[in-house]
Amino acid sequence: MILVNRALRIKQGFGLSLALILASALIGTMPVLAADATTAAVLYPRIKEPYNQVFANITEGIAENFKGEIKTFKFENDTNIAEIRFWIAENNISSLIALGSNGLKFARQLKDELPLVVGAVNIATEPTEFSGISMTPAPMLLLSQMARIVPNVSKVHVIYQKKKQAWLIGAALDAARQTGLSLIPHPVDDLLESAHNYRKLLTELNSDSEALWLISDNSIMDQAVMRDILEVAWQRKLYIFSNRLPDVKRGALFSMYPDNKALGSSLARMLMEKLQHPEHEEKIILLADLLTAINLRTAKHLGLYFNKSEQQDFELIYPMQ
Amino acid sequence: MTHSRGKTLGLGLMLLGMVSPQLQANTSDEDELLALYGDTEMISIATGSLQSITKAPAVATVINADDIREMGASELDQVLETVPGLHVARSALGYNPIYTFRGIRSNYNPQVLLLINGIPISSLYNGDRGLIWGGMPVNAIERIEVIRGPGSALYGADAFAGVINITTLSGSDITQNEFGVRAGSYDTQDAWGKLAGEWHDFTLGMIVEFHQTDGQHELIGSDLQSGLDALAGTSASNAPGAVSLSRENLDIRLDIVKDNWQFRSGLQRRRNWGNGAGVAEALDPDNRWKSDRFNADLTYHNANFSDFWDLQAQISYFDTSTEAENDMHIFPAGSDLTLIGLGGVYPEGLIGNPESFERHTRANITASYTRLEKHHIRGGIGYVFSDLYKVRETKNFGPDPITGEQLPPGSPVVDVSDTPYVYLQEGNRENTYIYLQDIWHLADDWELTAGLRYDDYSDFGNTTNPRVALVWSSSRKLTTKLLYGKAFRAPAFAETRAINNPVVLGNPDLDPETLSSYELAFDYRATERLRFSLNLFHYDWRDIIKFTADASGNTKTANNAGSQTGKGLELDLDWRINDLWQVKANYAWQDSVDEATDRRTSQVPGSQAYLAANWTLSDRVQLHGQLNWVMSREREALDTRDSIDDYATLDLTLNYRDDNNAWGGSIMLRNLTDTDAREPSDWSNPVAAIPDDLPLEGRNIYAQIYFKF
Repeated sequence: MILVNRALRIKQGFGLSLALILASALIGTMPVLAADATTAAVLYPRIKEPYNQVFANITEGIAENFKGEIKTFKFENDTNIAEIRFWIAENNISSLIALGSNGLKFARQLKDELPLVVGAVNIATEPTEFSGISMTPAPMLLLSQMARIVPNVSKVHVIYQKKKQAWLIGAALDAARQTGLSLIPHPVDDLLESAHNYRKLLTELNSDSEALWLISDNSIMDQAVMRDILEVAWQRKLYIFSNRLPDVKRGALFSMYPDNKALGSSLARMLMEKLQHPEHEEKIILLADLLTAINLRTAKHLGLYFNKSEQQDFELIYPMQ
Repeated sequence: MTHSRGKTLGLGLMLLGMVSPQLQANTSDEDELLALYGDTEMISIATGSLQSITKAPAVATVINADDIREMGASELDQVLETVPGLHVARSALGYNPIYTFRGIRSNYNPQVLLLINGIPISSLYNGDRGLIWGGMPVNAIERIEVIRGPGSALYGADAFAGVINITTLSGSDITQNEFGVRAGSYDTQDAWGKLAGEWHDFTLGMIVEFHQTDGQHELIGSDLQSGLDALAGTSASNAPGAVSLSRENLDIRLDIVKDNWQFRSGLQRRRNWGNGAGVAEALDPDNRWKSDRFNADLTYHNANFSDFWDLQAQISYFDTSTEAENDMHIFPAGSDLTLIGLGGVYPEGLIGNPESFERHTRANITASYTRLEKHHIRGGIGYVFSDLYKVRETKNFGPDPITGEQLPPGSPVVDVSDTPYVYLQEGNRENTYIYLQDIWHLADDWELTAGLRYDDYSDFGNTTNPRVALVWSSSRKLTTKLLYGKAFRAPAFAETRAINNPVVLGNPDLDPETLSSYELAFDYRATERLRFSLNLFHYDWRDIIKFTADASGNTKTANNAGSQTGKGLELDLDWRINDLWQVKANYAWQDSVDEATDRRTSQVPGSQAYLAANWTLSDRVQLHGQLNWVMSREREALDTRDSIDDYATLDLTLNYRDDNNAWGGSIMLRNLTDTDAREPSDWSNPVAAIPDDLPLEGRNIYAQIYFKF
């Protein structure tokens, strides 16, 4: 029944489009439209509010920047690839942006059928089967923000899972070189080793010139370890920054989180480039469309003060009341 | 009611039955987003659909639109009753709210400042929200901030026992247009609509709310007239009879934003206003009043007005009226008023219709200097012109406006407007003020806020009020605050200008009431999901304006005659146990003493407790339950009645919202256990006019549905 309804809706939409095209042809605008006319689809899962707002904001950014028409398909949990193929054909979709992990699954099945990019996904930059943008914040932006907020820090330590996160550390070392910071990676295998390393690091860290960067992964971080890190950091007045927004609420100095609309713009540009240069190699890039969240209570504890104009550079300020 | 309850249960089960079988739908994406943002509130804030509350004052309770929806409130007072340390008591006259903070109570309640979008709506006449207040619906509310304790250093007059600031929705807050209807007990019918749009560079928002009800009709067994009947051998009283709380309210709000400019306008139109238990605590079931309150403001705000200057300029206008729709019977038809010196039987009753019309014009400029890192300096100047520009009165007693002779009982109603015999003198008041505040980061973890405001009034002189707050980040989880503040309450015109009243007279030489308050507050964030706060307070309330007996013995005149000291605490807990359960609880205890009698302050709760749980049954269905205890209310000094019973009420709300938030509905059950809850009536020696106190509503039920488009 749902399928029938959807098919009917699609038919109605198609009928309207056809009428518009005919009308346009009659008034002589058809050639202009045809030159630009490429219809891209944004494919993402139907999820509840407020989660859906993340995808809605990305889609808004895509629609504002993509030169051509954008149609949206929100798939259900039980939607199958055949339905999506049917919808793509019915709507003359010529390229695709798939969002989220579930969007990625469909992207895998469609990647040989039409040009596509993926976004809002948690995947490593390599190996690469697609072009797209990962939700992992680009180390370059995090490290430059660290250098800007605390100029006296010269050395940044990071503990990472040696198998899962090595790719990220590679990018981070490059970024550190460019920002003039010295990055000291500490590879670990599991939670036990990570807890031990954090404990050791936190006692050794120089509170004036060194900082700790948290790139949390569940395999090397849990709530108890996090609690200990933040408690010792408060007592020793250590600079802690994180990849994850919730850590700022807990007491880390700052973090960066996605600017979803800007991410949408970047995805639209990436798709357009792909359409123009299909020969370019596929690549997943790290998220550079980022906003900053800062914990001013922690900042003041560390002796960092910002005037109101400087505070305008931060999009989210804790504590909220 | 049993029938209704059966229906409700059926509908509730039906809603539960509609729980999606696809609870696990696309959860990996939700889980990943949850890991990225921490919680759903952060997603809302980070994606811009919920405004962060960084602008909230330091010590405040903040309640947003989602909280209001969860608790199933349809009226402002239902929300305010959940705030720690605030109890909404009732006046016999229209059951008008008496917002009681920390043991500070008076019948017209001018000690609490109610602001809408930062602009006061206090009347000149009584210093209250207008006699024909009639409540305020909640659909246009974006958030409510409640500050306990004094705030005169920032807000000026009447920010005394507490400040309630209501922020209404602007166009950008209305992400989807909405239309909703609600119906329920007491023949209540409500409807509302929210519309928003863009036009050129303007962002527009409009909210219309309509509310019509017969009002609750609990019985008053005996009233002031019952007592007079017993003495005079008459049977004029309307008691036993129901309280009269019919309402017909229309609220319209318009909001237009362009760049740095914002224009807001509102109408609160009140009709068919029943007067509760009567103006003289003698039931008057047929009397109706009306009021029109209109407000408009134009605000310019530029955070980067020039290098390091944040500037806001605002002009605003507020117009309010108190008008009779038909005759008000102070005492009912057939009342023999010989005993109170009014000379005999009044066949049509003792009739008086005092009406008043006010307008308030305000202009202010606020500037912040944003360059300094360790100081945040903010200052402002302002001017307020308040004008009680028209007073009208018709009545069938007192001096005849033509002859000057006393009207005999049975006289027709005469118009005494614009004569020396009217109840109140027209007049105006000017207020100019200047204030300065600095937030100074003394040292790491230490912050000192110091503020001072000077107010000059055309009628009672000037007053200077300081505020100091020392905030210490004691540990990663604990913040400690020490606060001192002084406040004033401007005498109302009823206290300075009342004339020709047979009982109470104004006094033009009154000083403002003053309050000095000390507070120690602890805010402990045990985890990101669990937060406690504890406030300890002490205050001195001086120069309390009271109507005290004159030497003649027949009249009372307003005088600065009382003082009260108080101490107490408020405990607050907010615990998001997991994504399915959230618990909020608070407890308040206060011990305030009337220094004239050395007795505990009467009619205010010695303690209050509140417990609420919100249970997310599914993506679509939430169940909210709340318990509210009101305890330990003393009688007045001479009152011989038994003490007032404590009460506890239980409310349940079932909320449903479809997956796409395209529509939703709620069932609200209030006072589910049909508890006999009462607010104290006044003592009038040798008996209370209403001996059995003021009954609150019994079990009542509403259903609502809304559509978004």
